[in-house]
Amino acid sequence: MNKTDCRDVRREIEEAATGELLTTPVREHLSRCASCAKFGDEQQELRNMVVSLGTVEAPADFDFKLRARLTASRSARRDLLSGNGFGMRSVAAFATLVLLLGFAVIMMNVRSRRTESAPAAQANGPASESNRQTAQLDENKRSEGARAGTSPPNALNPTDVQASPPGRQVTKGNGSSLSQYAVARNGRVKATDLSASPAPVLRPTETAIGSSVFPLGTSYQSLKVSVDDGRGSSRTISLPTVSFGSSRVLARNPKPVNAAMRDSW
Amino acid sequence: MLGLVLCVSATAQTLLTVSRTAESQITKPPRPVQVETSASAPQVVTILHRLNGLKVIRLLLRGNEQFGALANIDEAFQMGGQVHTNVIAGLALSDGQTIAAWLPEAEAELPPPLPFAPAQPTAPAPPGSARLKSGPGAPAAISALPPNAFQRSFATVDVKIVTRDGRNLLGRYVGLDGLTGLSVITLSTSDLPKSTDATEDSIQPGQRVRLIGPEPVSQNEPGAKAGIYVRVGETEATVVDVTRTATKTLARVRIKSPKITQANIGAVAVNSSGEPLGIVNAVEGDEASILPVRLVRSAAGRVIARQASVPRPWLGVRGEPIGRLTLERILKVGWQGDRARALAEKRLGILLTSVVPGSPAATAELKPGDVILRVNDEMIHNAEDFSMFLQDAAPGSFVNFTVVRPDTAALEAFKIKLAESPEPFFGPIMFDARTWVPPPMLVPGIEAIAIKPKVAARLGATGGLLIVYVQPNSVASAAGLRPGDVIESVNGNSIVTRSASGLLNKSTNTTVVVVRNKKKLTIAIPANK
Repeated sequence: MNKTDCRDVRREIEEAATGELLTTPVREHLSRCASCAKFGDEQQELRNMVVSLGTVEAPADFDFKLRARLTASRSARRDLLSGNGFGMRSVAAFATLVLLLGFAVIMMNVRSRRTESAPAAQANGPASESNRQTAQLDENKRSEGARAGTSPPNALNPTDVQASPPGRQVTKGNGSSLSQYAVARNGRVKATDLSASPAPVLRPTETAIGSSVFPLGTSYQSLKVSVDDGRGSSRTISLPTVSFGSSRVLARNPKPVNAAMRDSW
Repeated sequence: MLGLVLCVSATAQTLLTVSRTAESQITKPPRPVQVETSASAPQVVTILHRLNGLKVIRLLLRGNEQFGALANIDEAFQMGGQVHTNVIAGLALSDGQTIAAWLPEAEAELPPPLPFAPAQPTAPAPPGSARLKSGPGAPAAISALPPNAFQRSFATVDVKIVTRDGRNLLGRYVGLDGLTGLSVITLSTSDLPKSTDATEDSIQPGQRVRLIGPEPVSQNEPGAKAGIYVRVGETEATVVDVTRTATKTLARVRIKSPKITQANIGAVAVNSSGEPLGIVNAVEGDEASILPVRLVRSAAGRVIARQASVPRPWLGVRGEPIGRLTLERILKVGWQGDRARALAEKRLGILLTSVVPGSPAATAELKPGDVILRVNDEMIHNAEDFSMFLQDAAPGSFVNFTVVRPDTAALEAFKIKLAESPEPFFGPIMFDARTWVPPPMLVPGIEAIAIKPKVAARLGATGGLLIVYVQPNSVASAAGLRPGDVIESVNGNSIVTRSASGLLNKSTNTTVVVVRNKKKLTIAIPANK
């Protein structure tokens, strides 16, 4: 008995679908090889058990909900990194405070050297530390307040509608104040002087009807279809009313066509 | 010093933001603001492909060999109404009127796959051969029931195009390119933005690309109306490999990113300037493959020229490039000694691992273990070469193959006439003849599924077979059978399973009673000559 033969035979047994006939060479091999025959029987028994358990399906809206969550998660990260959220502002404010405190310490040192007052110079250390801690606490409170006032990152936020980082965006309107936004004919920014005029605000209600986000015009639900295999057993299939991208939830071959074509002509 | 500059910069940004916000509160724009981004790739559109209930049943029937009968359906499941929408990206081509997209459910719009052997042409029935008779339940004449919206919905493909600036356009589905799997859609007018493609020479490993495609938006935002919102999202990736053919044209681009998922298939890849590179057509792990835009345009050109789906040229083999195989693997398929080693060292050709029975390759007596070295005197270095050379040949054309076999020292030449691929979605299932069964055809040109009483009652019938597809210009079509009809009886015998197809496929005339729009009709089908 060849070990390679046994390995190939067992692979075919494993890959064979329920109720499917095995090829003649495999059947012949099974008649000769007790070990593989036993393996085949065990596989069949296992399949029967699995079939008898029925089908457990993920909720039909699982894919939709997962993608929406991923989208929201990406938006949150993008906001944080691009400075649209409050994270960057907090860092900037903190850095400013550190700068001011450092400047204050330097000034106090200079003053203390001028007066050459040793006791005063010794008192400056704790006082600076105390001020820094107080400022830090105030800053923390401000940051928390700012975060509390920020709605959770979501695609319907203005920041989500702005798909690219700041500096690469152009706001357009018909007001004269917006004419200063120099826009090339191909839509790219030539120059943007944001300090020269007020920037319009995008509100959620506006973004919902804007160009970047649009309603699908249908609601999401899962439709149930019961099918019979013609031999008395039936099962229920959940069909989502919406799918995104390449999800072939209703088709036989879950792989895209080109993935299957790479080695067949 | 650098820290100081950064701090000052950050402070300025903060102050500017605060100032901007404060001013904006008193300066309200006169109308909702439209947002544009630079390099936004306006040629990427969103396609909404909608399927009615009957097309969904068609997909289920074709996708499941265990599908014996339709037992029950939800109340909301309407045979003629929209029950499923696929949302995917599309690439507007340079004419501003044609769109190429990888529609995953395009199979629902196509005829059922055929057996390996070429289908026998069906002669259309002579005019007037479909006779109407009085039958049970006083059926009405077909002429008295002109096609209504329910019936028209089966004849059209519902594709809507949403442009980046929010316009909704109605598309016309032209067909599927079997070679690439891309669907081609056109608009009645040239309304889409025109753009310039990225040059093939500029595509290099290390280059960053953006994958653009629609994605769902959370519904939980306060103020948002109920329903599903869509936006066009982006995923960044890096080019890791560029495959070119012997003629140096781009065959495939491989990209990588930890963010890549199966959802990126069908997305349009653009460079940093927004110029299209191609369409993502496969994802494996964190890598994806891009079909170059040049091949996308070729696919669209084929379909537009034919104004219908274009089957891919088909040889009927599966194989692996020798360059990817180990010596052990080559020895395993019958090659021996020095000849196997020479083959492995040269790393040329395609080793055939299987040949589809009845295919052009089988007819020419190509066998597993054979190695195709050349196509029309062009040496084959890899699978992309082989695909490219076959792509140049249309179905029905002759191609010269140079083959070396395990048991023959000399090279052998074959001249093989390529066929049309029998299955538009050319999947591996074709090679698994043990399980693949051609879909049931009651009479030539009909695809149907048995329905249980609960479903039949919804359609105004007592039971029978629900027709999900009728081939145009077939006997069934000429006789007046339509998708959505329920065949209740054949020659007076009730019909409850697909196995009753033998009742119909005879050499004598057949009379069937169908239920259409809850009304009974009797239809005569002429003999299948």
